[in-house]
Amino acid sequence: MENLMGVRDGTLENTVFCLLAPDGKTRLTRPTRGPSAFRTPENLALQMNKMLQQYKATVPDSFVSPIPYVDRVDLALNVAASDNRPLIVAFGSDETELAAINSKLQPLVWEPSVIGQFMYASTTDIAELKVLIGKDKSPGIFVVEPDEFGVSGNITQHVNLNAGSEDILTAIKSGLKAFAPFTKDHRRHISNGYTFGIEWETVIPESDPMSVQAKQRYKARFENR
Amino acid sequence: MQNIPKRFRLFPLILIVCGFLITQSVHAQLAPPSGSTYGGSVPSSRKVVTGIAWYGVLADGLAEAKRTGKPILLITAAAQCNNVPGMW
Repeated sequence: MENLMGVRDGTLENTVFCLLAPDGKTRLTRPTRGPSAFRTPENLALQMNKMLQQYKATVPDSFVSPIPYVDRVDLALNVAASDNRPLIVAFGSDETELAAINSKLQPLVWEPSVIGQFMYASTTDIAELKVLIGKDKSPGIFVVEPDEFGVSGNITQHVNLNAGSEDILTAIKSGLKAFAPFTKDHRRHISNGYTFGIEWETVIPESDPMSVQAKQRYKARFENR
Repeated sequence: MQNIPKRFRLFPLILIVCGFLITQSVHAQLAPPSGSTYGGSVPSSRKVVTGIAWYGVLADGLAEAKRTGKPILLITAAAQCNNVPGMW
C-alpha cells in the first residue's frame, strides 16, 4: 500500500483517496485524504466516466464478478457497522460446502436491488461465528444486523445449504427490509465506546502520525474527566 | 509602476499568492463528522439508497480491476475512530 501511494517513511495516512488504472499501479489522480478536489459527487462521477472511456472492458457483460468478501467475520461486522449496513455471512463446514454456497450467492450479490447494500464475509470455521447471536448456526447463509459498534450481530435471516436461489434472494431482501440503521453521533459514539470499554486494535499498527496524536489527546481528555 | 521593470511587475502578485497559500491551514487530519451520521442508509425513512459494492481486500480489488480492465476507485480507512469500532 505504501509503495502504491509513494510513501517511503512508514507514515501512510489513515484515509487515502486515489483513482488508479486497471494495472493497479498507474495513478490517475494524486493520492489525497478524500475526494474533495472533485468538489461535488456529480463532478466526481463525470470525471470517473471520462476516465472509464479510456479503457476497454476485458470481460463480456455476462461476466459475474466474485463476491466482495472482507477477510474475517468479526472485521466484516465492524465494517458493516461503520458503513451502517447489514452483513451477509456464508458458512460452510468445509471448502466444498462453502464453494457450493458461493456459487449460489455470487450472482445474487450483483442483483440491482442488492448490489452495494451489504458487507460480505465467508468462513469454514464455526469459531468465527461466535460474534453472531442466533440459535441456528448450521451451514448456510446468514443475514446479520450489526450492533452499533460492530462487535456482535443478530442473525435476522438464515437459509440452509439446500435452499434455492429464489429462497436465498427472498431472505436477503427480507433482511434488508428489516434492517434498522443507526443514527450515530461521532462524539457520543466515541464516548460510549470508552465508557463501555469497547476498543478495536487494527492488525496493521496505525502509521498516521496525526491520527495517533489525536487518539492520545482524545483518550487523555476522557481519562482526566 | 511605470518605472518598475516589466519583469518585476508580477512580483507583488506572486507574493500575495504565495502568502495566501502559506497562511492557509493544512487539514492533515480530516475533521470528525459532526451531527448525525448514517452511513449508507437513511435511518428515519428506512429508504434504501444506492450503494457501492466495495472490495474490502486490496488484493481482491486489484485482481478484479486487472480481470475486468476497469480503473480503480481506491479509498482506504480504518474501521475505528480513536480506537472505537463501528465508525470510520
